[in-house]
Amino acid sequence: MIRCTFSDALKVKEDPVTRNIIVNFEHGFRVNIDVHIAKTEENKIGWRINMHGNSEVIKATKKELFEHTVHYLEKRLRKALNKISFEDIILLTQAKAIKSVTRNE
Amino acid sequence: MRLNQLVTQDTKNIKSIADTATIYEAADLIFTNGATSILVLNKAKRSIGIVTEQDLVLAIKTYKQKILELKITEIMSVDLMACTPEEQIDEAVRVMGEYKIRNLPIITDSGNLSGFINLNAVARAQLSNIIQRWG
Repeated sequence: MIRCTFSDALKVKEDPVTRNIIVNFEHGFRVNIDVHIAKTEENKIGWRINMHGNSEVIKATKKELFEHTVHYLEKRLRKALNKISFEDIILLTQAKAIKSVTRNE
Repeated sequence: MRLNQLVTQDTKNIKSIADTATIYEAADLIFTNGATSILVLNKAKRSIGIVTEQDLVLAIKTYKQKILELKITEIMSVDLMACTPEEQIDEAVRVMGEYKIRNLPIITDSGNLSGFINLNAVARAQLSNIIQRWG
């Protein structure tokens, strides 16, 4: 059995500073901002969304990017935000990307 | 028996719908064609998800009266449990049972979704196996 997905916008990376595992979200917005999901003990859900890039651009797009990221995770996992764990997000990164579909239609 | 023996021309004949379609249009396509699942395509004709009968039922339960206002992309499945063509039918039976899947996607190592195997095909193949062994 394998997990597969039509949307592989999440990639596991290593944080260059802390060396911890983080998840990079390829958000598709036309702004040069990296969105990372990282494990944390500072809140109840156990993970947080970090944004890296020009601070002015982050300030202008933060709300939309945050909502887009949360909506993406909720849609793929079919869970409400407060039910999503960091392990759930890691599991999504392991899904095999569906690159093509054989059809007769 | 390997699963590639069950992926036939019929199983590849999956219908598709545009990502701008409504849930009613998807339900109509599923009902009219007697299909159990349909592919969702974006403007570039790329597959971005799949809608099954189960997705429609789940959406009615989740969204209630608001369901007709939603687009198909809000309820489609993006992640699937699948098997490879090289896997045995017993593995397909296990996965279908464990995850309550009636149409199991078959995906190759290169990431090509080559078709679906439904419960009927699996049951027929298992029966044929039993007949060959004991008949």
